[in-house]
Amino acid sequence: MIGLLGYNFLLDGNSLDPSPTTIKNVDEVKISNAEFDELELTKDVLSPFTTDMPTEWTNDSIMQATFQGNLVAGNVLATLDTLTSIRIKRREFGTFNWLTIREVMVNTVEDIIFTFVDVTNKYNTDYEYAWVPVLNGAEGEYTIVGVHSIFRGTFIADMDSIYKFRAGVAYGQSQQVQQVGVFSPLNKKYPIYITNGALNYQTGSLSGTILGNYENTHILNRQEMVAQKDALLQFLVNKKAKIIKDDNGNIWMVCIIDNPTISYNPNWGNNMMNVNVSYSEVGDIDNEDDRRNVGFVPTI
Amino acid sequence: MALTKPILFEATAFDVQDGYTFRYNVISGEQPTGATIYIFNNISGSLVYQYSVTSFRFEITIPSNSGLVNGVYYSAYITTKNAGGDESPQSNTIQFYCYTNPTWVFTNVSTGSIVEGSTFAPEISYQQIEDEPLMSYIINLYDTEQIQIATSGTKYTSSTTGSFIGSYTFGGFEDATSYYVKAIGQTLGGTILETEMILFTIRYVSPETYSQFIVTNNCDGGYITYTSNVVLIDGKSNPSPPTYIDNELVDLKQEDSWVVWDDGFQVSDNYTLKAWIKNPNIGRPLIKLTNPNGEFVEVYIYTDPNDEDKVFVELLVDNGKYVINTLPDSINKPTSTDELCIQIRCIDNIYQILMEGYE
Repeated sequence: MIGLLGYNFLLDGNSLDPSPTTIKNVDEVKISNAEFDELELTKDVLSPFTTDMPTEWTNDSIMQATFQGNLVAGNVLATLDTLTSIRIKRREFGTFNWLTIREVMVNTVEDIIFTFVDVTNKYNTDYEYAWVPVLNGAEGEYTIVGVHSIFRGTFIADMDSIYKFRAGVAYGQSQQVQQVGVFSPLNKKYPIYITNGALNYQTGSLSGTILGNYENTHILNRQEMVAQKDALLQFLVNKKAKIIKDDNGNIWMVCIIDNPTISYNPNWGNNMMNVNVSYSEVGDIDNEDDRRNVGFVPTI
Repeated sequence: MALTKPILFEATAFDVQDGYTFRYNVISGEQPTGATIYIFNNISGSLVYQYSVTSFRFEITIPSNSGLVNGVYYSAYITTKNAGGDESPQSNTIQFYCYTNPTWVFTNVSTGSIVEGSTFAPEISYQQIEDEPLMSYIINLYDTEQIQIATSGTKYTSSTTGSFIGSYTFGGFEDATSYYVKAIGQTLGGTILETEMILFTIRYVSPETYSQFIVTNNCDGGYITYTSNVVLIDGKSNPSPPTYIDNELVDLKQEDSWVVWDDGFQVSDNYTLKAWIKNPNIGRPLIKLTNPNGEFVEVYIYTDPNDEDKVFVELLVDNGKYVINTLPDSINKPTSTDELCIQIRCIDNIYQILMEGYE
């Protein structure tokens, strides 16, 4: 009877309409007392009414049930009963072998919505990522999407953080380490070299200038630079394996050896700082066992 | 040289289950080889706990089974002793509370969350069962280098209870970029609270076509963001499993047979629900949408009282205050092979119900 309150004039066609009301935060849908062919719940409130059934999941979709032998109303056929975890795998486009780069344990429906950052991508490389449902170790169907990896600069990263060197980047002398033993027999002029060790890895060093947030603000803020230096040093000594990569295509999976050093430039009031780290390879970024050994395949 | 009066440092509130390390200092005098702490109920003045340690370290760690009780206000002083067993004068007296560890968590963001928008207000929740108030908090925002890029600054709460919800709005987020957020709080008793670093990703440019997974290259950041858009909603039914007709329809015509979805989704805004059905039971509830308060929207089909060959659809919106029937025009009664399409549309507080039959 809102017409009496002046909502509209008495005696018009809608004057006896009931008051507006709403039910917020609906989180349960129940159906009964009919044969149901399909059910759709969507955020779209603009499309005109038609009897056409939806053909695909859209950005507005909330639920879609087709009752084709199941009660699934999400956008995958999997259910909590058929999932123990989700594996995210990656491979370079055109290659065959997949690398598991993340495994997500699934206990509730909320576990399946996640995002993560993959810092182990190489420069100028086409990748395919696969979403793989896993039930007690057995993998289900792969759902694959592609992406082109490209970046500018030199980065050092671990599973939690990635740091970009923006200026003064320099690699020190690099070594390819191998194990060679020398046996000096008494009755021979030349020694015998023994190379039956399998060691074969690189060591090197990297240095760069700390610029704070200069790339965004174009201001060399001394306090920011000091804070960034402190954070970077803690990052470098956190005992986690690191990725060093650049836009030349270099990529190494390393650990930081020796002590990171900071050198201060007195010509800039000591606020310009160069950090130098020495590193040693600990594995192949494209080898899943190596990645697992150093913690680059976390399970969450 | 004799033992001098020790200085006992202030203690923050702590949970008796965790134990606590009291620290003190001694200036000049003889080298202490141990200390004894005396803890009193600050109201009654009675001695409730006494604990001695032998150590050159200027600290006394009381264990978790000390017998102290959470929610009680205590006072304490210490004495030190030397190798000969001589005792020093009493230290200064301090007061402190014991409180159960509070919960300190973000309520609207968790690791891996996707935030849609260029602004976002992380919400932090503080709950402490003995009503120790939260004095202040700070919410910090970090980039993927975990370098702080924004902060709320110190926010004082003026809260007087053990329950507090706070938030701070950050702006200027870039699309397809990941950030960390962390909250640091301090209770009135001085306890410092810290959340973990929570990684979340901003996404406010929706792709034109839907994908269950969004993989985005971040050129400046040097990383790839992988976002799972998978929606997992599985229904429950009675009977279980329900009866399917040619694997195309589910038959819920029998009394007490139903399907319900109650996990994995929430409708927080306007919506449209459409159902394609056959052979409805007249006058019985067909579709019911319910919220956590028990309020519901329900759909029925009735025979038109003025024409037995026609039916109409009714929408019932019941939030405890209003019951609303929306009665659009009747349509011809469907045959057993006809299909009905029913649409409920909710825009703000206005509901629309439509139904159309077709062969």
